[in-house]
Amino acid sequence: MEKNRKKGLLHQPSCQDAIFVGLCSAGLLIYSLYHHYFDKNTSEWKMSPYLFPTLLSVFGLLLTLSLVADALNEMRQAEQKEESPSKKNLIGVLVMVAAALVYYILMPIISFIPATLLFLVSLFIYLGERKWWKLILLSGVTTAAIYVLFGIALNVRLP
Amino acid sequence: MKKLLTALLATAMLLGLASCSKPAEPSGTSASNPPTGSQSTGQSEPTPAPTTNYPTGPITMIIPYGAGGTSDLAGRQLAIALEKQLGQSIIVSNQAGASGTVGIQAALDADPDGYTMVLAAESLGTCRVMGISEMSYDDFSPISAISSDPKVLVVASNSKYETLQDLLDEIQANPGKVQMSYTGPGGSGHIQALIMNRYGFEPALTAYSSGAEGITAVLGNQVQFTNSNYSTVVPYLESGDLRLLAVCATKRMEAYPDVPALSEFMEGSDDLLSLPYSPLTLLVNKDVPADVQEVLRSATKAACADPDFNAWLDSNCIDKLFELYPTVEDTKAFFTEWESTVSWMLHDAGATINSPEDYNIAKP
Amino acid sequence: MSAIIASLAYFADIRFVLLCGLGSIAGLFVGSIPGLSVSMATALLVSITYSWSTNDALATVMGVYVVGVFSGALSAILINIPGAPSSVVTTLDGYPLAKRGEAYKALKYATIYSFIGSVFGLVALALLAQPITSIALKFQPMDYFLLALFGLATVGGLTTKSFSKGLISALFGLFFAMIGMDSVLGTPRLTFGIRDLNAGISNVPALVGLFGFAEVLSVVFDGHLDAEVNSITKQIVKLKDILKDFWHSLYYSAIGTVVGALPGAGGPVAAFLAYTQAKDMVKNPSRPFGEGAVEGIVASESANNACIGGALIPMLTLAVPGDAVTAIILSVFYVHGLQPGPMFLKTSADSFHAILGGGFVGCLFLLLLGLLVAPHLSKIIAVPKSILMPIVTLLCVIGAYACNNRLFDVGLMFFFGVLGFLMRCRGYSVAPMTLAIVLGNMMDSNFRRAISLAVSSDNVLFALFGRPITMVLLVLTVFSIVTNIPAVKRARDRRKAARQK
Repeated sequence: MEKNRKKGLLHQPSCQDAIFVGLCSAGLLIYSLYHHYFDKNTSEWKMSPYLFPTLLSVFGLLLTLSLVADALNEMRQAEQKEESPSKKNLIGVLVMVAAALVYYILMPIISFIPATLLFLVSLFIYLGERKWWKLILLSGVTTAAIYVLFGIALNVRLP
Repeated sequence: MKKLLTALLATAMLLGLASCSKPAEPSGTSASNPPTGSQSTGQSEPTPAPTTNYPTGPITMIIPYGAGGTSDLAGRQLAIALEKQLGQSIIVSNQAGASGTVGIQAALDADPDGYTMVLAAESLGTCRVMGISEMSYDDFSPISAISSDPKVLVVASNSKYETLQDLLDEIQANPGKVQMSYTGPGGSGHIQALIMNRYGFEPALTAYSSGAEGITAVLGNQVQFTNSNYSTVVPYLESGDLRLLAVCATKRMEAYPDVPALSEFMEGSDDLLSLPYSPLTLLVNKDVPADVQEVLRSATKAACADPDFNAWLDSNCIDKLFELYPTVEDTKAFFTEWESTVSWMLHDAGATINSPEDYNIAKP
Repeated sequence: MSAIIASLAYFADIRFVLLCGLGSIAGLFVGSIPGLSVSMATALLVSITYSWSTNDALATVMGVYVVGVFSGALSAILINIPGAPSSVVTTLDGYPLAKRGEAYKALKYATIYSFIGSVFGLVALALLAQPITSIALKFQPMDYFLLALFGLATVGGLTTKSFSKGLISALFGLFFAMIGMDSVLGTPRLTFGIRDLNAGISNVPALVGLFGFAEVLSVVFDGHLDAEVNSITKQIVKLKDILKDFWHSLYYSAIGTVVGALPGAGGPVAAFLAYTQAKDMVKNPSRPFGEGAVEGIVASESANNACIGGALIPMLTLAVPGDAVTAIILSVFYVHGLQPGPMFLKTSADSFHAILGGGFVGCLFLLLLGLLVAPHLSKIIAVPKSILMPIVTLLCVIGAYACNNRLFDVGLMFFFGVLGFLMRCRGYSVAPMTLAIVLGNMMDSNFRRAISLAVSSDNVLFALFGRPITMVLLVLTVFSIVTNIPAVKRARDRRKAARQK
């Protein structure tokens, strides 16, 4: 932490955000201007679909400046830094996202019910549930309830 | 407790469903035989094309305009009549925006299984030349032409324009200053404005997303006048909030013999003003199996003869296009004529982005 | 007044009350399950009820509507996932309360004030429909734009410590809202050639992702899965204490009704505006705002439920729906041959009374269900996180899918979930982004409409800003932005501190 503070402007989180926001805004500005002037069907600014995005990008650039000011401010008052990173579980997050993605891909392939059962069971196991009867009961009941509620009662065409 | 209530809810909704239609088939089975991109059907083995069992589930009718406009009213009336014929519920879905192309595009993007129809208005014939979309009538198969609503010019009742003459004089004196609300480029309001342009009247146009919103703009004095569908303005005429100045046609309306037709003030405009400018047609994706189309077509034909539906059309002075163009061929011929007349008119006025020639649209 | 009396007669109609009750129970579920929206339920009801008699249909629909709007607060308080955009504000104070084990208290406040707000809105609908319509008609495109901008600016200031971070969150939300078919000209923009983006980003996947899936990820990230469950202390909350905020809540309800009557603005804006007002008016909240102040729940819930009556006003008198749900209720009307418009209140007085009756009966069920069922529901947070989180994820997926039957929306939901998680890690609030996604298109089209109207007039600036409503809104917006600029804020704090010495 001591080191972090001395490393200068670029290592301030606000400043990194500022760079990101600035790049996005600049990108949006270029995109909007390009499309406004080169698309066939936009002629006047007053009705152009890109009028509002252009304004947004200008605001974005202003906010970038404001973030940089925040970053400078944070540097000056070098007090509180991020709270102690108490065993944050980044791997857990990645596993959740991966599980969700696999579910997303599997759903159209093996249809809704099996995919959902698989998804629930594996997540329950990953999150620490070990009793097999609980696993089966929980995932079975949830899947059935969702299927009845959405697939039948609400007429959603589940994959 | 929660489970109990869930079950209760489920039964309640099931009972509700059962009371209005045969129980709908559960998910999946009703989506069948998509030739391309089975992304949302999830049926792993391809089922054969339905021959006679169509329809087995609710059908969506997309209305590409906001709730409350004429297209919406007509569509909902038609849906009621059509439900009686098909024995399935018809879910009317308003997907407004962009002169109706948002909803039409949604209908084109849906699986061509016959469970999505669209009640398209005129903009489908002009969206290519207007550069709004690459769709055209050719991407769809007509089920039937339905109706066309007379277009009228209205102002707020506290407006200083007492007669059509007052309004036209003002527009002529101040080109580009008198404001008019319309439903977006290429739509019927725009075409009418272009016809006015031809005869030296140039109003300033501002786009709103539905006919009802265009009227609120007049009521709220945001704009001076609008060009609206007759049936949308009827309640406001009754309540005295709007004043009817003219009907955009060649003949006066029977209900208002004192209100002039626009052609009386624009010499030589008869050809342009005699076309139906807000034709509503029921379409499906052209890839929908032919037998499904036939089922829909005969059901729609019967629905159009429905006395309630006809009574509604009559009470709103709506022209019955299904009588004017009874067959598919008639409808297609009408599409061709309409597309060429209007596309070239827009093009000649310099309002188009693309030339009609690019799309092989013949000159009228 | 006679309208109210006529509508109260419906309390004696057992069939009417029963159907309304069924609708209410359905509303409780669709509202509180993240991703299942009230508009979806009403859309379904249209097809179910078309063969019913008009009164039966209206009773059911009003039950769903009134209770559905309220029950968005349940999941907002219990699991920090608002059931609908208008309950976003409720999460700000409701969830911190639940984390302290005071979910019961939060739910009770939410119930009582949702009830008060709903009744207020409906009474306003019964008595003041015409005057409120003429107020709504006075709002021009520029005013809508400024109102939304004002909403976003205040949210930016409310939800994060750093104002610029709040605005950036809103800015990105607006950017996401721009994606898709442009609502005026109909050309696709910012879709980067992805066809599925042509339809734009719907509210439900964004909301469910930013709140629901992001919450799941945050819980996993914090690693409190094995920690013992949140305890619920069943407190006795005295009605007398709850009703302390009654007079304030009438003010919030008035805000809710008027904003609800402006088509397109609706619940979320009303709730945020009321919340800002609460922050200014309530000098000594029970806890600081944002950390579990019941006054925050009072503001948000009275305002968003008062929107019900408000949103029905333009729908009935102008046939222009105030929000997504009234758009669908409007179609129930058309299906039953009723034509809203300037003559509706006179020519279809019976149906008008049925709507009011359904609303009032719905309010009664809101109170009953809120007081009887909600305490049981609050046991949800006693479910171990390791079981709750997969189920919440599943609900997020289904909710995102069900709103349009598109798998693509599920992908969008994941995207917003990860985005929301990253934003939280960086100290950005997702609330301004949600509001911006909901309002973005309305802001864009109204802004362009305003420009288009102004260009054709003689004095462009006067046409843009030269009306009283516009000037007031402009001043408010500029004021809320300027006072929140860090430098100005610091200067003000310093002066305040100096004065206190």
